[in-house]
Amino acid sequence: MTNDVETNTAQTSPDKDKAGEYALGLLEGAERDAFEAQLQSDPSLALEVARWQEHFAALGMDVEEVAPPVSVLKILKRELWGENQMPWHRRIRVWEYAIGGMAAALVAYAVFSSDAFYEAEVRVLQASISSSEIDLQVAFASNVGTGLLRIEQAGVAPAQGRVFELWAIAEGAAPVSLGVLPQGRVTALRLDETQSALVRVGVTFALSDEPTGGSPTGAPTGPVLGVGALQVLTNL
Amino acid sequence: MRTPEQIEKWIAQMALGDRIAFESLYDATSAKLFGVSLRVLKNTALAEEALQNTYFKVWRNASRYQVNGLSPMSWLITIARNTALDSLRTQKNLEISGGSDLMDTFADSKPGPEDLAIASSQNEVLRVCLTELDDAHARAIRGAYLDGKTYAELASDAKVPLNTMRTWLRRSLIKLRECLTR
Repeated sequence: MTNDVETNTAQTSPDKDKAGEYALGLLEGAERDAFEAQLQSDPSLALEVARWQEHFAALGMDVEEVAPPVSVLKILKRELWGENQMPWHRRIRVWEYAIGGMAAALVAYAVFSSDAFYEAEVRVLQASISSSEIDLQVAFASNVGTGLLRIEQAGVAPAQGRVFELWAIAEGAAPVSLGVLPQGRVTALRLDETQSALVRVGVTFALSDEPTGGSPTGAPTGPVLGVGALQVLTNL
Repeated sequence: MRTPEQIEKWIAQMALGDRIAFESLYDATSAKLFGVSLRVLKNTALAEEALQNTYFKVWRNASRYQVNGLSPMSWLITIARNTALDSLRTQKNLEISGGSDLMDTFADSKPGPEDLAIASSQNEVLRVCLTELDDAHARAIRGAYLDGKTYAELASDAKVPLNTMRTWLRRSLIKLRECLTR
């Protein structure tokens, strides 16, 4: 609740006119630094840059295609995944890498068996939770089905002797614990069948603050930090 | 070229670590992106390296695609072009905007569904709007985007003073914006 007054001065910032130049790569030195500083705090400016980039990409579409040498893909695959194929359940490491740059978010993915993993009809669900009380943002994503729940978290950690517990709440049903969030930015929870069945559209995820080891009663006892409904991320 | 839906599907699968989706995407898009890299860098070895870095970023940032506000080919082309531009500027020992940290910018911008819908329809419009500019001005915009030219280089190419080029560009961008939002 800091800058209500400032947000009322909704006139176009002078920086907005520079978004096109920035997207073209024409801003230099101090001018560019100032613009980038502004970008960090102004989502509408960032959107303006993204729009210019979208437009300018049309110029790229007109460029003639040239097939790259085969060595490019070979080197890429080696750099991304090493020489050897990893078993599917160890790819969690790869995911960690893939999502490593995602800040201010907590992401959970449930993994299927490798067969289902490559099936065309896999659906990914996501939910996001951000706390209005403390600095904690949560974004979940999960394959529909049994497996591992991948978690990436940012924001504050639980207090000494406390943990964050994740709950799945089906409509009209009592919350079911999906487990205590492990410590660390990128972690994972393994779900049993009952828990996995709750990863579906219409179910709400909630985080509560609980004593170490999780709720002693099987229901949330501490304050609820936030809730978020599971939605289809995309039709894979 | 594949449909945007197919490309988005691959990107979504890549976000879950699907290597087959990555290779499919690479097969379908690498010739276009290599063309862009070559156009910017005009050097095969550098363009190959830039292409590798491009797909490296694509793999690493696939999970962010949903919130970046760009249509899939535009997203890929933007990464390829900015990666090539980074390399070009590194060669020239300069540090100028349009670089890879734009990726972070997208992640923070969080456009809604409406913005995404607008974005996907914008692709063709630019070409039309560029024809409404003076030829020399449109050429400067192409030179900046496709050849990674700086203001100084654009001014030298057009044989006009630097400040004239800046004025051209800024006025052109305002005109373009009017046309694009018409």
